Amino acid sequence: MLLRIASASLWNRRLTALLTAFSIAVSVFIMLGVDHLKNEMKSSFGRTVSGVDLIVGARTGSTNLLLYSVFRIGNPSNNLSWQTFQALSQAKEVDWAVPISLGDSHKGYRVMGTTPGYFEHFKYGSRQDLAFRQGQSFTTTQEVVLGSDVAAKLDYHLGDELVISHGTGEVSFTHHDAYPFKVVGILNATGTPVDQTLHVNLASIELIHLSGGQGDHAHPQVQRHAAITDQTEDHHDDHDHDHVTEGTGHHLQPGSVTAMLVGLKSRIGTLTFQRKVNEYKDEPLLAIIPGVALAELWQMMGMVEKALALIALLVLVASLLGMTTMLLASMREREREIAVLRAIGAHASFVLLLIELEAVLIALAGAVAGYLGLAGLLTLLKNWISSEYGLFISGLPLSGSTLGYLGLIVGLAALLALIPAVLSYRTALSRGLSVRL
Amino acid sequence: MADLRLDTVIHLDKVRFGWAQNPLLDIANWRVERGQKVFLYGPSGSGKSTLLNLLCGIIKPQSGSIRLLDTDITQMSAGKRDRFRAKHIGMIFQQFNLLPYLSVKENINLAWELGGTGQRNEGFLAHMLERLELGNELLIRRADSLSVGQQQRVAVARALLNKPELIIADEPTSALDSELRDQFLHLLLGCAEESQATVVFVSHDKSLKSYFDIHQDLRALSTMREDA
Repeated sequence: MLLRIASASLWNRRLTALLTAFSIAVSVFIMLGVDHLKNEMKSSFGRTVSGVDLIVGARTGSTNLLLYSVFRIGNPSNNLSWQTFQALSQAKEVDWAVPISLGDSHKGYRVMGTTPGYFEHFKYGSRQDLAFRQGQSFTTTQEVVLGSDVAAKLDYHLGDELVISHGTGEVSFTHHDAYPFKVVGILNATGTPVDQTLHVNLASIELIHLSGGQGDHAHPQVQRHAAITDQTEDHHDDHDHDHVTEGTGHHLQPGSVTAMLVGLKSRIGTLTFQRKVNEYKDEPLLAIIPGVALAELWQMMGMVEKALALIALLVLVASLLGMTTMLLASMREREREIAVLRAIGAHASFVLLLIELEAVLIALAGAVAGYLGLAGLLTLLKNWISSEYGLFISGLPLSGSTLGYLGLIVGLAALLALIPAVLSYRTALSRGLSVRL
Repeated sequence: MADLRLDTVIHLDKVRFGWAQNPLLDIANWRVERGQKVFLYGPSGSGKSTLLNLLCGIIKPQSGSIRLLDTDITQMSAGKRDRFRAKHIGMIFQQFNLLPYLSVKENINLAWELGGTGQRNEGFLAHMLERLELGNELLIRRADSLSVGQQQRVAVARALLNKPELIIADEPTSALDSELRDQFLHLLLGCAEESQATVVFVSHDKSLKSYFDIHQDLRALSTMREDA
């Protein structure tokens, strides 16, 4: 009966009740959304790199190195000279080393120069190998291997030809038109930035800059290469391009690479080798352990996440206060109801429970609507988010923590509704049958 | 029910309510016998609502006893007073006697439920509705879709539903025009007589007193202060 009165009373004030429930739904949406995104990002982050013991780049922040080498976010501030790469890959502790070179793009997707060894050594998730859905690794400098999203979004198939642009923007004015690539392989989806990447031979990167940029002094990457080589104590020729043996491509030697991925013979020596790299005399270097750097990055993201959670909480408090205001505003007209209920024998606590129940109903409606809205939106936008942002979000589970949040919201609503509820309880006790008209 | 002790329905003895030096109500002695129809006259500010709240057990006097049906309600717990009220007192207000957003039937069910007896005497309800010239089709309508006259008659039906010994009516006719007022008073008093209920009718409208056998001025009853 109490439930029937509460729902009829809310229905009677359905516009305000609905708006209140809606504002609660919005805050539930934000709260659960932030929480879910955080969890998904965390697992998505953890999946991105595995099987790599160290990532070595020019000296910079460890987060920065991780971001550009693994997540393809941002740009390297400095490169690593080819001599250093060769010296390090021949160190006795090293099992394998794969160079990567970034800086070009194709229709907004990053192009990465590397060696076929990348497909063999780079792992993701729980040590899963990169696998070819179609085709195989590149063998010449005119071949490209696509990540699964690149192939799917741009509708490329084996045998198609494409042109790489200079720089990493979606719109570039410098296209390396003279140097087209043929698609020879497409990778399986991994749920990592690999899906968003075009892989070419390291030598190709040097080649396209050679053939594309005629008299290319406005070519920042090449200039930067030159600048770095100048600084190194190893005696280098002033211009990178001189290193490149034209034609065959296989014998091309790049002046520098963006970073290198290293696998060690024994993981026990990781820290020792890391120190050795960090103290490398010929060039300022930084070596990071991916797991450690990921954890650091995650800590940094934690700040953002906390801020978002705080905003969600504030929105929630605001909407719950709105609900309380709505209940308080209806108090005057409810004096009559209270008098009627009291006259026919209702105890004052009946009135208190009635108002509490109304609040709980509103909060529950809002919480359920917010949850369903988020679940629905995630289902709709899942694919778009993964292709736009490289974040792989799964659907919204009705987990313990989700239920905990929903319970918390309903509980808070009940708590705040105590203000109008207790007020009407006291009205019911003292004023009783008399109504101010 | 021929118990002699129950012949006094209301007995107020040295009832004081308000602040010690300046009581709102101070009634030395007041009795209402079974079956009486009492017209309690009182202009606004004469302590009417305080008296009503006292009679219904919503509030307690600072001193004195209020005996209803030979039971001192001032000695009861709040919960007991609520149950006592639901069972023994039928209340009719000036206006808005029903929860507006519930149907007439739901309003009546609510009274049954809170009445605590658990019985739903549908036969009696049908009889009351007929007696009060209310069609059955009204039951499913929302209470606020009824005319004021209809609402007041539903209020009478509801007040009598649990067959209370005492009916308290607080200006129930003030929202009705003179023709409806006559009809309403006849129905109310007729129904009360039928279920042998005692009626205390509170009003500031002296023209109504011809309907009642006992007239009582509230100001004479209570020694009041001017500033109350």
